Amino acid sequence: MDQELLLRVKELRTNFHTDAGVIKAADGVNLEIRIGETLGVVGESGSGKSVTAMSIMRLIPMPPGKIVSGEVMFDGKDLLKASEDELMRIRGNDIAMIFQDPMTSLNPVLTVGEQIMEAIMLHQKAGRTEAKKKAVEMLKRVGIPEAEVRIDNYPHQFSGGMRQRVMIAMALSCNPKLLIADEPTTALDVTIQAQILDLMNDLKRESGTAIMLITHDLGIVAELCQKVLVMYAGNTVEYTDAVSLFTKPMHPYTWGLLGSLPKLDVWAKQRLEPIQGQPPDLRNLPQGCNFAQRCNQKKPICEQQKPTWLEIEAGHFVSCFLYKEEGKRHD
Amino acid sequence: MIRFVIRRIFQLIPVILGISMLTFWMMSFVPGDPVALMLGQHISPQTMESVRQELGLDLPFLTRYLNYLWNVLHGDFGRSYIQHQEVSQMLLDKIPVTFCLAVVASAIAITFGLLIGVLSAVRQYSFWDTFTTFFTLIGLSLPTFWLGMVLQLVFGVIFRILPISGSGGEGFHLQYYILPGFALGFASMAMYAGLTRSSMLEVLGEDYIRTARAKGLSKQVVVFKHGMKNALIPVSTHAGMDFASLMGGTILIETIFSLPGIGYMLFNAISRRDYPVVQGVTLFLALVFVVINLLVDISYAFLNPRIRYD
Repeated sequence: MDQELLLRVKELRTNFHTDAGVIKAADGVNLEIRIGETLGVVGESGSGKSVTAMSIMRLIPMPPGKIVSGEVMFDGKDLLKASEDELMRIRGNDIAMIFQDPMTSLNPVLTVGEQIMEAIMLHQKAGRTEAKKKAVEMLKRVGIPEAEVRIDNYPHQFSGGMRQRVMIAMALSCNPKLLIADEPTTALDVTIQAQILDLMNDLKRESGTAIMLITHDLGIVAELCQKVLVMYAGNTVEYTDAVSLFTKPMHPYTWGLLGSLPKLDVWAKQRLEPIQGQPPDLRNLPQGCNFAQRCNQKKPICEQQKPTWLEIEAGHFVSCFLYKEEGKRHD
Repeated sequence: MIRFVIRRIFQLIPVILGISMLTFWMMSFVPGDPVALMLGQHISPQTMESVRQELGLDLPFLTRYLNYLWNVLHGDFGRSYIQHQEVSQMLLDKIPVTFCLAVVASAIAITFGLLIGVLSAVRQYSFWDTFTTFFTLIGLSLPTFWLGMVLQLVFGVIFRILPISGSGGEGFHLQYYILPGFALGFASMAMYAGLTRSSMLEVLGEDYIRTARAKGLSKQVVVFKHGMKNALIPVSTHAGMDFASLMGGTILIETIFSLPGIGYMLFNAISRRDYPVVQGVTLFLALVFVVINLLVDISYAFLNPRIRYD
């Protein structure tokens, strides 16, 4: 195994059992994150981004969820086989997480200080005074003014952007090796988004934490990520470095995504090209490729078989029948 | 905060006035003559008339009410027609018994109710959860007096482990309060269990619970530290009002268990048309309700930091 490799997810499958049927929310997810690297995970709503993140942390509510198969190797350990005790030592310590909505992700009845100190006291075996010192320091690092006073405030006394800063302080307080950020800026307004992303980037540079950044904003990916994973209907369809994704996308879905982005250099007369159709029902996935119905490159085989996850070029993985293993496009 | 409390105390005045007026008015409509009940049937009309005058019962309704109010404001709740004792003294004698009964009932209801509720929320849809849901339904449907009598029969008569009547004389004797407390608190316990379960289930689905788990906290810490305090906010509102209801709901239980509390006293007073006692007890219970209501509102500020009274 690659020395630098921090996390490798192979063929992860997570289902949700509902009255209306089994939802295959993650249906064969593959990804890799190296030490200190930022991976952007993009895809539309319901493509399985958050479920993948929650499965890595083993935080899928069971029932109704169930991780059916796959492998999540983190730091040489398969998290899917880890005991609850081992997971508790990893969560918040080696892998930390921040969520989409800072307004609801903090406990309203505990002070932010308490919520940050909790993780420090648990994982670093620190006493209250020491933990409080560390928490103040973290709040300062994420740019909360008057951190010594604010530490005793409750979440409702902070604005949305400030709360997300608190979440970041909390997540980074134990120097995790991996930070999973699930759409950390989606609920914030645009100027605050930029501030939060800058902050995450700065902290990452200082601490060397790897980040798995879930987003549906390709602009954020272009700006922050070294690697990108594209997901569609529970599948990973393309994985490569950020430059290749924008210069040499290979999967027809990625072409569609990039085609639907507004561009500054093309005059406004040109209309955006949406991808036709709707994603498939996750309870009733097609026999072949999940994207086949909407794909303009569709071949007969696409509707009969699932494409395999192939490394077409060094470090560029695609799951599509347009390509053969040697890296040639085959028509 | 202090301004809020003062404002609330002033708001209590019309409520108390309204209640006193309503009871006064209703009692005067209840059929039955207190003087006849007091003196028996073979008394000359003249004597009855003079007693009526002595008690002020011949005066018009409004005059009687205003007189009563004036006296109450001076701390005089009148005298019992039957026992000829000061109502205020009678209340002071009986309140501790009722208060102890309500405390025991509340303690039983809250302790077991919360425990059952939390456990069934944490193990949703398990056998335990189904069982407690069924149990909750039974608890809410059982008549208090029936449960009281069954408890007397089982624990007092068959097994002979607990006393079934009286309060054990001076002072507080816990064993006398266990059966009536359980009978009185059983429905409340079922209600607390149901309320805690639904409140806890709602809280456990919140984003901050996910955050707490993502921090690596154990399930116990997540449930009791992060879940419990949030889940208790709606439960605590109920706890206050429930305590007040228990104080007022002791009539049946005190009568069945012959506990000399205000419920038993009220029961006797109503059946003998002892107006001053009925008035006194009702006014006292009304006061308990409004004061507890106020305390519940104040306690919110401590439980829920988002609430500030300015």
